[in-house]
Amino acid sequence: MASARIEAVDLSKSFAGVPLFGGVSFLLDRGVLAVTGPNGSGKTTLLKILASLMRPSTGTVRVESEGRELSRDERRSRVGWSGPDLAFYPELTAEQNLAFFRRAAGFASERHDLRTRLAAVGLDGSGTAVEHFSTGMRQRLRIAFSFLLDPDVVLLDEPMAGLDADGREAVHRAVASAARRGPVIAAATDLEDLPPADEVLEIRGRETVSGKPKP
Amino acid sequence: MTPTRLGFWSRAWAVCAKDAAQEGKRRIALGSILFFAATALALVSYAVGPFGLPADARASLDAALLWIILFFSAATGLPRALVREEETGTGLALRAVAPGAVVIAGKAAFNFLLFLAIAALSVPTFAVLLEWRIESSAALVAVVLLGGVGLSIVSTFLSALVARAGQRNVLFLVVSFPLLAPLLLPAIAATVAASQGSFAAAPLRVLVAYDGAATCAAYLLAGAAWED
Repeated sequence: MASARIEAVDLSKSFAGVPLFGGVSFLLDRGVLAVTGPNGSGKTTLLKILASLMRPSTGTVRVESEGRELSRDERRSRVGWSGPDLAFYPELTAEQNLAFFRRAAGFASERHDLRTRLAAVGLDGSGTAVEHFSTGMRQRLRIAFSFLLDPDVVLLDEPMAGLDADGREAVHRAVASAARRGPVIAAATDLEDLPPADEVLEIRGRETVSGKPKP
Repeated sequence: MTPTRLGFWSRAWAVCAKDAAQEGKRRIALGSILFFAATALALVSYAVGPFGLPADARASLDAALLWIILFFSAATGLPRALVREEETGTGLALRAVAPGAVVIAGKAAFNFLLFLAIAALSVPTFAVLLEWRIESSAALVAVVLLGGVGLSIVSTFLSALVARAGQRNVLFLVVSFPLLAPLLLPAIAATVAASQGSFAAAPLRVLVAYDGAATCAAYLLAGAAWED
C-alpha cells in the first residue's frame, strides 16, 4: 500500500432538492476515521460519494497516492469499498466472485491468493454458491471484497453488521493492518459497532461534528 | 511491486465469461429467447406458410418476418444482461471495479454470442417451416453477422440506459425501435438479395457503417450510460 490520503472538501448531498447532509470536510492520510450518525443521516451516501459511486451535490473529493491526485478511473482500483447494499453473483462461489471482480478490475487472479484472502475473513474456497450463504458469510465476503485490490484507501460501511465474534475480530485485524499504512473510513450508527477509531465524524442533519473518540 | 494490469479486452472478456457462466447455470436469457423464437416461428409458419402467398411476394415478406423474429427474440433476452445486474444488486460492485466501457463491451460480446446461438437455431428452422430458399448462404451469413453486431451493441447500450428506470422493458422497446430501424431496413434488403442469390453491396455497406457508428457511440457514452 503506497502513501495515500483522502480529502473531502465541503461535501453536501441533496435528493430532489431535499438536503441530506452538508459541510462535510476532512483530510485523512493514516488511521481510522469513524463516521457515525442516526439512521438516514447520509453515512452510506457519504461513503458512496467517497468511493466515486455517487456524485456529491456540492464539494469535491480528492484522493492522492504517492503525491499524485488519482483520476476517477484510477480510484476504482485504489479505493476499496464495501456496504450493506453490496451484492454478489448468487450462482457463483465466493472464490468465483472474487476472481471475476479482480479480472474485471484489471488484475490477474490466482487461486492460492484468493483462498488466502477468503481465509483471512474466515471463509473457505469450497464450492458453495453465494446464494446459500448466511448473512454473516455474505458480510465476510463484503469485507474480503473491500480489500480485494489491495487498495490505498479503505471505506467500510457497517463493517460489523451480522458478524459473530470471530468475524468482528477478523475485521479488527484487517482494519488495524490497513490503518497503519493508509486511511480507513468506517461508518456505523454507533461507535461501538466500529473498529477502534483515531477520529470521529458525526453527521447530525446538515451539520457535522468532528473530534477524537471519547475514552 | 506493482502487479501486471490486464488490458481492456481481457477485462471485457472477464465480464463476458462471467455472464456465460451465469447463463450456463440459470439459462434465463437463452430460455426466454428460445421460447419467444419458437412461438413466433410456429405462428408465422401457420399464418404465412408455404400456401399463404404467391411465390413472387415471398422474398421480401420472408426476409422481413425473419428479422422481426430475430429483433423481438433479441429484445426479449439481450437487455437482461445489464438489467439483471441491477435486479440482483451486483451493479454496484461492478461499478466499483470496472468502467462503463469495459462492462458494456463485455456484455455486448456476450449478447452477440447469444444472438449467434439464437440465429443458428431460428434461421434454419425458419427456412424449413416456410420452405424458404436461400440462394447465397455466404451473403446470408454476412448479413446475420453484421446485423447481429449492431443489434447486440445497441441493445446492450440501451439496456445500460434503462437498467435503473421503472418500466424498463417497455422503455427498452420504445427507445430501441427508432435506433434499430436503420439497422433492420438494410438487413432486410440484404436478406432479400441473399435469398435471390446476390450479394447486395449497398445495404451491407450501410450495416458496416451502422456497426462502426454504434461501436464508437457506445464506447464514448458508456460512462454516462452505466455509471452516472
